[in-house]
Amino acid sequence: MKLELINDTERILKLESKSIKLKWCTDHKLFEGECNFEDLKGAKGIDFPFGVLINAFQTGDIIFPLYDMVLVSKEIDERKTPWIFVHYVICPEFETNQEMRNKLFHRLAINPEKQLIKKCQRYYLRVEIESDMIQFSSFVDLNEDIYEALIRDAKFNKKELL
Amino acid sequence: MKLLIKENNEHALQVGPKELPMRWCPEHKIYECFCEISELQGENGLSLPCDAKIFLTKDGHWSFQPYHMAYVTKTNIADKTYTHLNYGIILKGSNDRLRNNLYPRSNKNPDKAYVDKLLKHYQAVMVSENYLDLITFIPLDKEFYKAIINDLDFFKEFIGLN
Repeated sequence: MKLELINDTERILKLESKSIKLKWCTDHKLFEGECNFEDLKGAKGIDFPFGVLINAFQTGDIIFPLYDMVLVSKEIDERKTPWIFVHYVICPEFETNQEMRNKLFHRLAINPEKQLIKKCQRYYLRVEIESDMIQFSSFVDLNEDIYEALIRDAKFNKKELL
Repeated sequence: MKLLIKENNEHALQVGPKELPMRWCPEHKIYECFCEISELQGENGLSLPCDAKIFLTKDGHWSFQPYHMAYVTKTNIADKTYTHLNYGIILKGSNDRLRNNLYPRSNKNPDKAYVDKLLKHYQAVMVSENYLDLITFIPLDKEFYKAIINDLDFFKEFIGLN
């Protein structure tokens, strides 16, 4: 993975299969870009640059159909250890899979199943459940394939939440 | 000034003939480096990277009279980007006289007339019981070295250092 300069507000993140255009976001003060889950195959956190936020989308066979946003960035924890931070956001109202969403929000937010929430908390680094948003966060080791980690999380979600 | 992206996506800032290594600050989420004020002659904000903060040093020290910390970065205000010059001064201990002028009556409310005097020169002044922050915004195409020297001269005279 290689970061290249275009100009002051644009950069390129070169992955094995794709180059992602990154634009400076004045609100988040980060260089932001988008790619598909599959584009991250082979990408590891070790050479993922700091200050970059990737919004990863699913294409083809949708592994977990309720993601609204999957954000990937590199962070450093309080023990000064760098990780790849993956943040999943699910909103109740969206154009697709409304019935599935209603069911998930019912199980986690409206009439919460304690066992299920505990299971999510055991699996994820952070779980935030509100009536208008569910958020999960994962830390991925810098030597691990980011795509594999996304798939692992999606499989957990599919098995436990759908 | 030119941003250099090295092996493993490490960042460095080229200022004149010097290459300054940049370190990612996880707290401020920005790349930081140190540079002698005198080496910034002729530089302006146009070539300053969006995700960079340059701490100013004088004779190798990043804490120099009257500042405890001074830095240059970029700021967005109402969709316009400026070069942001920030000067931090610790009030307790070494700056008792300044502190007594700012807080003539109590520790809670800084003296408005004294702050207004500072605001005639700076765009923003932030005062807490222990700390004073002075901020100058300048257009990106304006040389910031001159502005830094102008601010330094003003403040030294203001607090009676000259």
